[in-house]
Amino acid sequence: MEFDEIKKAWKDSFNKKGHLNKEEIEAKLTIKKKSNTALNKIKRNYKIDLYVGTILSIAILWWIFNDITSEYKIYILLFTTTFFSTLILWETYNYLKVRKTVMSTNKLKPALIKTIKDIERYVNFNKSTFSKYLILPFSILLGLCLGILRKLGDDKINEIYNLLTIHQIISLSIVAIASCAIFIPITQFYNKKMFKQHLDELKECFDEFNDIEDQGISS
Amino acid sequence: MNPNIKKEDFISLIEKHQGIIHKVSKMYCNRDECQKDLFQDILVQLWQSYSSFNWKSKFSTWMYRVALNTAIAQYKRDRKNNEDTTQTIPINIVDDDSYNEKENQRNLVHKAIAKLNKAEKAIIILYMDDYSYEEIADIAGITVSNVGVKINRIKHKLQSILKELEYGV
Repeated sequence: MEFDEIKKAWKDSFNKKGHLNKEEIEAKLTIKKKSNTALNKIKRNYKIDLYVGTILSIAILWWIFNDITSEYKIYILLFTTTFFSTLILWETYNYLKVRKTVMSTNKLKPALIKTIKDIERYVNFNKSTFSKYLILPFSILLGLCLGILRKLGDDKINEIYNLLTIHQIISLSIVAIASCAIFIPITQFYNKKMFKQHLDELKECFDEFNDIEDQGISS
Repeated sequence: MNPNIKKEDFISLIEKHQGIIHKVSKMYCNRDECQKDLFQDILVQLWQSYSSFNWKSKFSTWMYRVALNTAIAQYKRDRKNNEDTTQTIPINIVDDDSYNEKENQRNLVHKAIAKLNKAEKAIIILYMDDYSYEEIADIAGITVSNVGVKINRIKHKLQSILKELEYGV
């Protein structure tokens, strides 16, 4: 088939049949539908992380403030506030960076580069050593420590031995390790399932555009 | 600006140029459901980006840019069904009726384009819709000389895919 025939066949296949009138277009716009691009999914994920993180932080700080009577309370409060604030600020920074991206109006290749960068930022943070081996285990340990401090009440920290037997300490350590062992693969799996595959596809598309450039240069 | 007037203008423009959304949706999705989803996605993206459109370029050019960006970056939950490009487009080669012959030809062309990669699809759609090399380069963000080289290659690739589909060569 000659290319002109191909072109004609292609053009003919798009007749006006199935075209929408103004009312139908407006109806489609009125239906509140979330955009299905990976970037928008990431924006939504950041938002959820921020909302949940903020609510959880406030709840935990409130609980420490009201429920813990230890003499170290002020330090615990300061420490916990710093920890959660850092996480929330980091998330906010990332969210604001992604929010700025209006990829749909850019040229295709630069838009693809920006999209890949934004998704990578999200995926890489979630699969980073920092996130896997520091934040999650640290949060679990912090939770356990807060529980112990609550139980200690007004007692001094060195009286912890009266409160916890070796057996209990071992049990708590096992709980901490097991929680990490369960949650780390789950978050990794979710991450991979949701975005890694899509990211690879976008990179493949970017390579296709690069291939176009290379072919142009080599000809 | 009155937001209602703005929306009315937008809808009128979409009504006039909706063929672009139909073309892109059909070229990047095979299943009906996927096409409808992508159509709506593009429409939403167009509306959300409309305020940033500065009228320095043609509306249709801007629309193609948004539509292709959305299609390329769309998140496919059901990859297997969407990417099986050879199963969903029907071909009826044995019928000798002239209408059906044309219909077969169109299906073959769609099937052949579906076999191209995403970047090639974007370029050939624009080319077949009579966009100049300069406009294609502007939409894709690549140089004009590369567009020319690539279009020639895609033409040959399409013809050989069609030969393969028609005669099983």
